[in-house]
Amino acid sequence: MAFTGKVALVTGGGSGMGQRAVERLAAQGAKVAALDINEAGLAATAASSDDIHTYTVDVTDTLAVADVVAKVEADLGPIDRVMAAAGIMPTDRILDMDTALIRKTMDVNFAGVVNVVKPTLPGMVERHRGDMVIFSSLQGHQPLSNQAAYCASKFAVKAFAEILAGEHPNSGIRFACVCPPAVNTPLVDQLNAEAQSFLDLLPARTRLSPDRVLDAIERGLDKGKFWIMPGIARPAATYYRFFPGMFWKGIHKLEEKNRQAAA
Amino acid sequence: MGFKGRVALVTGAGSGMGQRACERLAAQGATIAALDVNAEGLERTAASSDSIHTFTCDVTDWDAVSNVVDKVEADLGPIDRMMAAAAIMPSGLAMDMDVADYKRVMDIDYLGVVHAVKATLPRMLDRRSGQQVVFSSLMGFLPTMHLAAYCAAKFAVRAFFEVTYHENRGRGVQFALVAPPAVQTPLLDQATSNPKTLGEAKILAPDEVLDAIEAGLDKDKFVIGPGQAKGALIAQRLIPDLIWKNMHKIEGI
Repeated sequence: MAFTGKVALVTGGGSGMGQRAVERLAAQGAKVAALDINEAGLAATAASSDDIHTYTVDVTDTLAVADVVAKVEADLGPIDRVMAAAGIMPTDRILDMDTALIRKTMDVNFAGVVNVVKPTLPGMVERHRGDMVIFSSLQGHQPLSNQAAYCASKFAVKAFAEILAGEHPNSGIRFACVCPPAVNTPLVDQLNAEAQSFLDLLPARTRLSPDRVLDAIERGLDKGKFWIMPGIARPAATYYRFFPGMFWKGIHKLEEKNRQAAA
Repeated sequence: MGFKGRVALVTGAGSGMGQRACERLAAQGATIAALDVNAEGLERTAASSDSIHTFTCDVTDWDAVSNVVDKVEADLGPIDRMMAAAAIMPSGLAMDMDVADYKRVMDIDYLGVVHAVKATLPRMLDRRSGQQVVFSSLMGFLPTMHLAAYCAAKFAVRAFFEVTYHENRGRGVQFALVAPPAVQTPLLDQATSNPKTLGEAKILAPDEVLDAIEAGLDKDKFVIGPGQAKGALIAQRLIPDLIWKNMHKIEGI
């Protein structure tokens, strides 16, 4: 099944998952507001349909995002679905990562989500209708070396989304927290070499395409599921949850292997 | 048992847990660098011992933290224990809090920890000795109504510190992530929307938490769950849905 609403708003619409989401929603006949800081990316996104309207905005700018939301509602109408997909994934050992970048990662990935939820959710609550789809990550359930800043931000998003949904029972709104494993998007290019090697632990077929993730979201929303954990995400998260010691042992073994290979 | 090192640095030292930690460590003969934005609170902390040296410092300011740590190591000596206790805990329904509130909580409760760790850990690693003691919370493991901003920050601390630990373990530094339930300190008073869930586990006294920390450090535990937090952490792993069911009942939402 698919989105039957009239208006959708997607952050991170200029590339990767967000871009694909925008394209698909527009193809289903919705009017889509695509938000991103990346103007060139937005232009590429908008090329696929006249029903895609782009808004260049920095998701970390609270007032600017609120302004854009107001504009979208004025231009396109009440928002039926929000997909908060904007994210960055700088990767490094934590002691080598600049504190400014650690802060920025949290800002974009977490505050960026709150900034779009705050102005859009009240309208949905009033209309007793809407989809609030928030992207966390498998890395919001499972910590990983070289990703302290990213994991921190995705754990934060997950906690926020879960409490937000928990505080809105019987609201008529479908909340979803999407927790994909690695997806084939430009985000993965932000991984450093060592983090890439963790990815390569898993067979290539476990790397998901954006479409597979988006399909999982639609299925999950239809079934009223909050946690959308496509592909290997659920078993991986469960493994860490019940056997964190073994999980980390495996990571350290791989790190040792990498060190020996590099020597 | 107890701190055997010479110098300890504590953030959030002007009140509550941080203050009590300073008092206890000083009583054990250590030299303490007490950090807080709250100068008045710091004065009260320092009143208990000549070995407590105060530094008015905003943990959200990386340069400030970095400079204070430089000064402490130059003036007082190499830091043997860093305890990151600075935090705020405003409460409210997720949609009732402004984004500015979320940012503030994240700044102090998460970035404040990041700064304290990043400023002190490299030197400890060079010396192959030291203890990094960081406060997350039971609320860094249990998503809790009325505490979206606080939970987000404490979940972040937990993830950040667990990765930091695994990236730096086996190099002579000890890492401890403390996850207390509600503790009887001024922090509790900040939860003005009165989340009833906070009272579900027995509220601990600061000394009970600090005792649990020393015991945990002695046993080289990474996660230290004082009091009923221990059981709650296991419950969260096994029956998260039941915990939510119960929370809906308690909070009436």
